[in-house]
Parts: sequence; C-alpha cells; structure tokens
Amino acid sequence: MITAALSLEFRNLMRSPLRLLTLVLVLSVGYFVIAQGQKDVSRWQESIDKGIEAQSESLEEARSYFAQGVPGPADRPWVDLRQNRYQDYYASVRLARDPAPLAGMAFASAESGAVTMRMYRFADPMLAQGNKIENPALAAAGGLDLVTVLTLLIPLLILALGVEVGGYERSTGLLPLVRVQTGRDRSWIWARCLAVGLIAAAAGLTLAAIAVTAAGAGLSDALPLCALIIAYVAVWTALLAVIALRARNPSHGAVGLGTAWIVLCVLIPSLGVERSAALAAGDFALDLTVEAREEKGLVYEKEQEELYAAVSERFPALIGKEPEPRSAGVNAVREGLRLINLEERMAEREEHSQSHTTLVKWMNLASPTLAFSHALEELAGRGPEVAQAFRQAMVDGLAKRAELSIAANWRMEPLGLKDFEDLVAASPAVFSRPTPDWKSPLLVLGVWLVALVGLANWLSRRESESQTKTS
Amino acid sequence: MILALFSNEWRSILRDGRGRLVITLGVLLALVSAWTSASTHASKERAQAAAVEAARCAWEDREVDSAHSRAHFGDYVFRPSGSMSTLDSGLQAVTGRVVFTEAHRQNDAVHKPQQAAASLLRYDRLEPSTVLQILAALVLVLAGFGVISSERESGRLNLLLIQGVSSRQLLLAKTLALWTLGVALCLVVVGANLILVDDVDIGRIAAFLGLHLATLWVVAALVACISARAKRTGTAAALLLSLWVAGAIVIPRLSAMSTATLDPLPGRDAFQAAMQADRQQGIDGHNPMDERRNELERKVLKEYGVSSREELPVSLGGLIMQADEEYGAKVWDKHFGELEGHLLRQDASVGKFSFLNPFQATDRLSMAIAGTGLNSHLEFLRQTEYYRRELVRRLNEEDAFGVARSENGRLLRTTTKEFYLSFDSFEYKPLALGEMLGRRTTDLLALALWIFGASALLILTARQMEARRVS
Repeated sequence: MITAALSLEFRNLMRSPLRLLTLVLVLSVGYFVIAQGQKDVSRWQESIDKGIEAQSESLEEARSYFAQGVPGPADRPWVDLRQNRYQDYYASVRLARDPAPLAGMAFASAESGAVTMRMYRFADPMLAQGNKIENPALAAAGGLDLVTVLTLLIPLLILALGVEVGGYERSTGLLPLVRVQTGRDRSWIWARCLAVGLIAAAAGLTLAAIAVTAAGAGLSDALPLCALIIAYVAVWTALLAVIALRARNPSHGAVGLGTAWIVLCVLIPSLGVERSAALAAGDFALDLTVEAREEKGLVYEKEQEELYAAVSERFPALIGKEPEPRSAGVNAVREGLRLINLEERMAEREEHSQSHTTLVKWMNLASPTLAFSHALEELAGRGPEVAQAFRQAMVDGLAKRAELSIAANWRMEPLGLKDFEDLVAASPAVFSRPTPDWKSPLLVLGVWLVALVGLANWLSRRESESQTKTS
Repeated sequence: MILALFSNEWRSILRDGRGRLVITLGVLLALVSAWTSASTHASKERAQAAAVEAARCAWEDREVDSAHSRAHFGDYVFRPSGSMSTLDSGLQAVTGRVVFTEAHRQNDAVHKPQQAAASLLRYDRLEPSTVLQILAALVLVLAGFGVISSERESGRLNLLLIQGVSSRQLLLAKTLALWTLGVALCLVVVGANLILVDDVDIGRIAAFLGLHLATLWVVAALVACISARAKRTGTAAALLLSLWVAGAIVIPRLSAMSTATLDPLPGRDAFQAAMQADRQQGIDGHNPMDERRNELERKVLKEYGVSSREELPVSLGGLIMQADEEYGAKVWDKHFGELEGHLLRQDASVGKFSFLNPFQATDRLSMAIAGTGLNSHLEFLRQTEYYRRELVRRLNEEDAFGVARSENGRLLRTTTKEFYLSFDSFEYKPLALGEMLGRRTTDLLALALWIFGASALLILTARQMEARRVS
C-alpha cells in the first residue's frame, strides 16, 4: 500500500505546479542559507585568526624586548616588562571559541556572544561582544538560516503536500471504495501520510547532507542531525495523519493543518518569547555595571588583612608565599580580589539565567518546533549554554593567571622572561565546547510522536466504531 | 441593502462554530497580549528608574576626585523603553540596554538579557502589535476564506444575485463585515492598553490604531477578493493561508537575509581596527612622548606667554585631554556615521519589500509610531554620544581651569562637590511622531498603494462577478 501511496504522491507532486514550486522553494532557500551559513563560519574563523595574529605580534614584541635586554619600547619609556601589569598586557592570550562543525546552520541565532576574548586583567567576559555588528532591524526579523528552513518550512512542505489527504477521499466518496478494496480505509490514509512524510524527510535529509558536506562535518554531527530531522518529520507526519483522519474535505484539512502549524510554530513560541521578555524586564545589568564599578573602588578601602584572607581562601596554593612586609604585595592582592568579585558576579549571572533556561525547557515540551530548533542550535554550538561556558572558561583562565601573577609579584623581584612564558603557558588558548544536548529534545519529539500516533489510532478506531454502528 | 448584507454576514460568522472559536481566540489573545505587555513594561520601567537612580547615587556619593578621574569613572546610560513599547516593543529585544559613557571611548550598547533564551528569539513576541499585524490578519483569513466561495458552492450566491443584490454591494458588505471584525480586535487591544497603561500618548495611539485599521482593510479586501475569485473554498483557504505564511513569516526573514547578504556590514574587528588606526593619527592624551601633544603644549605656552608648564595658570593635562576627545569625536563621527549610513541603507533595502508585503510596511510604520524602530535606536545612540561628549568636555574644562597655583607654584585643584552635583543625568528625548513618520515615506507610500490596490481589486472582482452572472 505504501508503494502505491508513494507513487500517487509523486504523481500529485509532478502534476501540481504549486506543490512542486513549494518543494523547489524549500530546497533552493535551504541551499542558499547553507551557503550563507558557511560564509558566516568563515568570518567567525577569520575573527579568531585575527585575534591570534594580534596575540602572536604582542608575544613576539615582548620576547624581542627580553632578547634585547630592554624593559620595553623606546617610545614608551614607562612600559616595563619587569612589572606585573605590563607582562599581563603583553601576554594577553586570546581564548577562542572555535565554531562547531555545523555552526553555519544556525548563523541567524539570536545568541551573539563573543567568539574570541583577550585575556588580561581588565577583561570583562560578561560584557564582551560578538564578532558581528548586527543591524537590529534585520536581526528582529527572526533570521533565516537552515534551522528556520527545517523548523518552519519543512512542516509547511508537509502541509502543502498533504493538504488533501483524507479530506479528498471523504469529499469525493472514494473512502468506501478503498474500504471495500483493502478492508481498512485508515491504512490508506496512513500510507498517504507516510508517503508525504517520506518526501518531506527526503527534502530535509538532502539539505542536511548538503550542510554536512559543505561544513566537512563528521558522522558524530551528521547522525544526530539526521535523527532529529527524521523525528521532526515523523511528528508532523503523525499530525497530518490526525488531521487527515478527521478531515471532511480538503478545505477542512487545510484549515486544520494551517491552524496546527500556526499554533505550534507561531503562537506557542510567541508565548515563550513574551515570557522571556517578562523575565528580562527587570534586568538592567546593575551587577555588571554600577555595582561592579563600586566593587572595584571598594577593593581599595579594605584592610590589608581582610584582602590577604580573601585571596588565601580563594588561592590556597599561595598560603605561605606572602611577602614581607605584607604591604608590599597588597596591589597584587587587590588584583586577586577583583578576580574573586568577577567570579561571584559570574555565579550570580549563571543563577540568574536559570529562569530563562527553565523557561526554554518548558517551552520545548510545549511545541515540537521549539524542541527541534533548540536541538539544532545546540548541535550548531550556538546556544546560550555554549556562550556561558565560554565566559566561564575565560574567568577560569583569568583566575589561573591571577594566581600566577600574584605569586610572581610576591617574590618581590623584577620579573623576567620565564615569568612571562609561564603566564602565557598558564592561559588556556583552547575552549572545549560542552557536549551539545540534542538527546533531550529528541526525546521530546519522541513523546510527541507517540502521543500523536496514539491519538490518530484512537480517532480512527472511534470512527470505525461509529461506522460499524451506522451500518 | 449593504447594511442588511453586513449584519447578515456577522450573524453567519457568529452562528458558525469555527467563526465563534476564531473570534474568541482572537479577543483572548488581544487581551492577554495587552495585559502581559503592560505588566512587562511596568516592571521594565521600574527597573530602569532604579538603575538610573543607582547610577546617579554612585555619581553623587563619590568623593570629590579629579575631573579626569571622574571622566574615567564615567556614567551609565540605561535605555528607557518608552510608553508605546507596550504596544510595539520593536527592536528592543535585540539591542543592548546599557551604554557606559567615559573619557576617550565610545562604547556600544550592551546587555541583551533575552539572549539567555536565544532559541526563542527566532520567533515573534506575543504583544499587541504582533496580535494586530499577524494574528488579526489570520483571524480574518480563517473567518473569511469562505465568505463568497462557500456562498457559491452552496448556491446561495445565485439566489442573492437573483434577488437583486449587486456584486459590488455583496462584496463590499462582506469586506466590511470582515474588516469590522479586525476593527473590534484593534479596539480591544488599544482599549485594554489605555486602561492598563498610565502614561499614554494619545496622538501616537491614534496613529497606531489608524495604521492597523488600514492594514486590516487591505487584508479584509484581499480575503474577500480571493474568496470570490477562487473556484473552491479549499483553494481559497490554501491560497490565503499560503499568502499569510509568506507575508507574516517568510518574506520578512527572506528580505532581511538577502539584504544582509547583498550589502554586508563590516565585522566588529575590522570596524574597530579602522577606528583605532584613525584614532592613532591624532593626539594621544596619555602619552607624554606624543609629538602632537607636545605641539599643543607649545601652542598653549605661547598663548599664555609663559615658557614652561609650571608657569601656566591652567592645567595643561585637561586641555590635552579635551583635544584628544575632540579628535576622538571626529573619528567616531566619521566611522559611526559610515556605519549608521550602512545600517540605514540596509533598512531602506528591506523597506522596498513593503511594496511586496503589506505586513512589512505596517511593522515598520508601527515601530516608527511606537518609537522603537531603527531610527529611534540610532537616535538613542546619538543622544548618548552627545551626552558623553558634553560630560567629558565639562570635566576636561574643569580639569584644565578648575585649578589655582599655590604660593610655592604647585597646581591645586579647586573642584567642589557642587560641581559634580551640577551634572544632570542622561535623559532621552524621543523623536517627534511627524519626524519619525517623515523618515518612513517609502512605507507610507507602500501602504497607501496597498490600500488603493486592494480597494481597486474589490471593484474589479465585483465587475468580474457581475460579468460572470450576465454570461
């Protein structure tokens, strides 16, 4: 039956210019956005390369001063690489957030965190900006990338291809004929839905294959992507079946499918955005701005012993290395305290963003579209979790440098090349992306699929029973 | 006759279960969006006022320091949302809320808290403007796709025409019935807003209402025409839903992406590097070896008729810093001016799609009326920069002239606390409605053409129906 349904759907597709146009549009828009995504990834990589180039220049410049035995550049006589702060300035290693293999498919993501950060004592990872200058007028349109094509257009393709399934058979009286010939009319409707699903899945997987090939991604990325696409198409196919089993005529089916698409792809997501706006309403980043600035000032008002106690608690390895007199090392201790404050702010922010994370989790349950788009963004390494992990890695790197820097300062000797190289070596240059969480959204899609298939079966059984009673 | 047909159409919409459901949902969404939006806005306003207060306290409570230290201490500007953002928050979710204003540097607006739920930001917020631009149009489509075609299919159309009803009267009555459904939704949204929000701008609200009524007239006319021209109700439904999806979801994204592709913005690195390169051509206020600085020093000494800095009755540092600032301002004007031109050029390119898609014209005009669009954002940045310049200029002048020589020739600062208290906080002055709309003439023209075109199509469709009846 599925072969017959598949050949019917192919004939329908070839005969209907509107359906064919929809398929061609989805594929061509998909291909176009994949190409744009790859360009975006190139720009991302370029930004990292430039950062690393600047870093190499800075390191080489410092090394050349050490080699010449001079403290710094001749035109800036106050620069002295034997001092802590100038070593910190010249050893400002870039921490890079390499693009994930499939980063291009979510290039329109609203998450625009930094892709590279300069590691130095005044760095503020929480306010660092991304590599792109964005036109807000374009960004507010919602973006068009492969994630959008797969999440919004593939269901529309299913809608366009399957709009008449069930309704056509009922309105033309074909259904009793099918029942007589095959024994079960719902199998025919299911077969047609599956055929539509197969065509849509083929379109989605074709785009996935192009994206994977263009990005040179491996199987570890390609397989989850394909699994997610198949699961998402399966959910919409099951939804098509639910509506097809109830549709009295094609118009009824069209309205049903259109309404389902609007509810799942527009209305429920918009409720989520509204809620996120409400959560963000009171957040004017006072902790990162006014309060952070106040904290910097307060560092100078603290007693020496209080400063040493805080730093010893955070960096136990420094205990016993304090200089004599202690007042000589107090400036370095203040740097340590600044870092402690930064870590505290970071932890508070993390806690603060939990409400958004919880919201996204709940919204993923409410709509398969949201679960799918979230999973794809995760797979593309563009989610806020990755940006947060990157900021955390930066803070951790700064902590390592601060510890080293304090220890070097407390020796009360002019610093040398070894200190400089130690500082460079202690700065992590590579950020390890957290493993993308695509399994939970896949599970959500699975739950949706089971629920919809169950609903479809229940509906068709109920209809069969009512037909039996009527006859 | 038109009135009878009109009331008959309303009765038929209300009699139909689908019509009742669609209207109930529409009204519910309108009320929910107005309520949530007003409540989010109130929290935001409170938080913004608290943030401004905190920054002000920090400024006022600070001990009397040197004017240049104060310029580095800087001030924070927190973007206000504006009373009309309850109806249309525009670009506010994708633009930063906080700008740090300080000496030597022009910082970007940072902190977009909704990025913590980035995967949701691909979708529109459920706010009054979304309800009126996207969902109200959908309500009209769902309530009206069979407004004529179902009459034709059931044979009632012929009956009506035989009874003496002209096609024009019929079409007009049906369109008016649909439109008044839209009018009701508009009134619910605006009425709820007037009740829920304290600070209202009647002129802007009237413009907002007028704009959406005009758009819904276009939608109602198109729905009626397509329903009249379609052979089957199913075809009308499919076509209208496809047009809605294209206009509300696909074309805005496609236009944004194609514009960004054809006329890309520079990367942040490239932009900052170019600015930095130009900045280095000017005076460096913090580099005593800088030749341009020394040249200025010679000029000042000559002006005061003295031979050394120690003899000057003013602080040379303040004068140098101001010269540095003025040069920096020129560099900023050049680069930001180019960037602003680029952003506006992109915006104008997207604006051309208003001729293709009435929803885009409405969206852009709605943001202009609400003061939440691109022009308002750029105006906010411009006013912030002028505030920064004025702040730094006054501080530099105080640094230069707020001094007196002691008997032993030392330069003593005479700056008082009152001087710092005399600074006013930043206050954003939104552009006037006329000015905002004056910058949106393309969209106004596009909408006018849509109104004219849709009305003309009504007449042509009525003629076609008449001709069909005669033949």
